[in-house]
Amino acid sequence: MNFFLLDTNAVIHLSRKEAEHHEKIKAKMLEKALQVDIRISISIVSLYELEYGVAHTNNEEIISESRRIIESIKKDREITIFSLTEAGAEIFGEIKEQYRKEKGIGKKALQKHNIDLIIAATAIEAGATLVSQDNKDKIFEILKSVRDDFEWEDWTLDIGKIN
Amino acid sequence: MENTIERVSEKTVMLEHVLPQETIGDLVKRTHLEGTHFRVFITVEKVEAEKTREPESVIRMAALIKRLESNDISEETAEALEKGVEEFRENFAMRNPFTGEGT
Repeated sequence: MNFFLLDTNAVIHLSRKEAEHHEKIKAKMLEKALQVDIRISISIVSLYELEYGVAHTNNEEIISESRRIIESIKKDREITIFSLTEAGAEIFGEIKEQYRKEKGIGKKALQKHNIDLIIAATAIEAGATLVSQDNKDKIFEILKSVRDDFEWEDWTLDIGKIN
Repeated sequence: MENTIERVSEKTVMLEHVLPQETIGDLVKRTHLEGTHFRVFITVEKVEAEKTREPESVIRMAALIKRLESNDISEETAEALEKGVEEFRENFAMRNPFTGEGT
């Protein structure tokens, strides 16, 4: 079983055909499925983020469409939703410190990456490959270089540039 | 071409791998086995390539993609959700319970 843990933005891109990275993510997902038996998952944090997005607007159309995504994810048997766990918390503590030391990043800047690190810890604990775009602080690239058990891929990159 | 002539019965000879450029005369020549003369009737059958089945994993993922695509959200909704994700992450500050420091 090969779990791929999709970041929230990947799910959003898959839910809109005209989205910038829709076709790339879709192609990569099918390419992986052709190679191995894959399973798709998300972190429970993604649902928190989507719910926050819904609560943050008064636009009825946006609320209705957002609820549609959230409900379709929750009821889809093909999507596993990983919860936060005690083991994940331990990994989170480790990788946050590893990243801080490796990057030499300040506390204020580090605050912005708590969610990225929680999701990365969830992927490590589940033995899943995280599918996400990296940010300007190269958090996933750095984590991958210091953790043998962290698997990460960016499916929005052009063919030939896949890490 | 080797092994293209198969004697199915006394009166029936099957030629395989018949090339488009071969004439009926060519086929008659090829059926002249051991000096026996044959009349040639031609039946053409299309060779169906065996359809390759897609792995079950691909079928499942294609169906999942279709279900997600069917949400068919607008650009405004996608932007609102992406903005929500960005804000959620930037504002998710933690406090070290032992030192009281923001981290």
